[in-house]
Amino acid sequence: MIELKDVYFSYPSGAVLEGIDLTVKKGEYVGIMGHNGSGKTTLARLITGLLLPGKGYVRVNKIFTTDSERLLDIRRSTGMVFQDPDAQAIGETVEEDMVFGLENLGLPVPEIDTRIEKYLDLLGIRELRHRNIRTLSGGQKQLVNLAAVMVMEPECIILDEPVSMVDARCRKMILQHIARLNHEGTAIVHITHDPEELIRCHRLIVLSRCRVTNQGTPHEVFGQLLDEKKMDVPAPYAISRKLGLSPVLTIKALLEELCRSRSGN
Amino acid sequence: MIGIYSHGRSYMHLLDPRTKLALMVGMGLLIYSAQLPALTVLLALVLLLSRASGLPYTRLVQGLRPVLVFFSVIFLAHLLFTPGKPLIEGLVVPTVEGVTTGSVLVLRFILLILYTSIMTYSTSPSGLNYALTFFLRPFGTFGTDLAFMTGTAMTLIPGLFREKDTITKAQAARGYKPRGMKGFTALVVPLMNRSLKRVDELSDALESRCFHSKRRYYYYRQTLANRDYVAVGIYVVLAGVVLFVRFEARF
Repeated sequence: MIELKDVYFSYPSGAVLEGIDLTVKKGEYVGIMGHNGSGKTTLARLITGLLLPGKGYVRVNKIFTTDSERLLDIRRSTGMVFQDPDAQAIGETVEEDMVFGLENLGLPVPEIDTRIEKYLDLLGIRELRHRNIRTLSGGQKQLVNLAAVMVMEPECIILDEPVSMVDARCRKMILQHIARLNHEGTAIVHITHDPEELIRCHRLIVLSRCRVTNQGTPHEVFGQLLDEKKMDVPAPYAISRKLGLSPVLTIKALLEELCRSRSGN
Repeated sequence: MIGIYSHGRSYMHLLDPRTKLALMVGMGLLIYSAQLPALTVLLALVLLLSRASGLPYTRLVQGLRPVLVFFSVIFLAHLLFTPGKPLIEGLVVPTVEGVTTGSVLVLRFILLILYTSIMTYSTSPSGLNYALTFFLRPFGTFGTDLAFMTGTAMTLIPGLFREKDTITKAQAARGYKPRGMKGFTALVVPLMNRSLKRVDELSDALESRCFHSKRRYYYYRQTLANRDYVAVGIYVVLAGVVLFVRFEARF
């Protein structure tokens, strides 16, 4: 549903992305990883049409992001959650923030009500419905931002470092919601510098020095990164490789592997 | 206090946003035309409305703090430079007329701020946008765009105060004591910078949530109820009294 072909983008300070080829299929969970300044956020903004490529093209459902007449169709099918929880609140209360996008979609009032009820329950934020967003904690704000995008039911959600500014408990909760969302059929483009967040993705892409340097399943890419010593990989993966076990991505799987190897010995 | 909305079920909260906006404009006109006795009546009405909206008096008065210096300058300028009967003898002479003119002008500003504070406290940004769009609808897309810009700008005002607090605290934490023009620049430059960044972020958020010029506000749309007619009725009576007092005083 998303296709980037030979994309080049530069700021006055220099090129940020060069020769980027990328596709995201319907229902796919794609992780994009890279150091600070590697062009991750620029890539997210290019996909939603907030920025336009200098060379190459970006298409969403076969619509070019340069087609200003149909930009709204692109935004209907791609929602975006930004990094800073404070930067994206439009309404004053949680309910207003969720209503904003739905009114833009032109949905009738009963449908708006149904969707708001559904997503408040789904994200467990019903008690926040009439709270002023500014009085919420960082994690709650980010949950509200996620709800405001989810309620529009886009085909794909682009998450730009969604948990980098929230505490560990909220981080876990948000990552679980993202995984469930993908399980229910929404395509996810998850951008981050933290490899631990991307263990559930179907495909992992590494951006470095303006280009895609690694691409594949998380196991393949983490293996390459570990060999190249270029970037951090999830701790369970590094430990399991170091101990000569079959590589795993979670602590739970690592413990199981350890038990298995001990009982084998 | 201007621009800070709080969700509630008070009488003011339940009024139609169009009624509140129209009455606020009407109150502005009354404040502009009223003199000292009528202004004190309007001040009493503000206190009543504050109670009717559930806005505590302390918070209402706190909203005046940032503009106190401005009011003091206006009052002093009128006190010292209005010709009339001198209060005391000296090089710069304060006059009785200066006290009256300065008080009237400052009271007008205070009332305008207080009425706007109560209005924004009890009207959600969506409601405000709906009311503005309703009244600016005859101007087509330009009107709806203008309505949205005004409504959104109102919601950015509290953010400006928060940013100002953050900057001054950050500067104080590093031992900086703002003095004179240099201190003013040290505050305004980062404040402008952060405000522009905030506007940029807001515009990205709006675009990514499918904002468009033909947007209609209907989720919070209300129909006029009896309480709206009562509020308009009270205003008409009040306006009649204020105008009567003013014209009677003239003739």
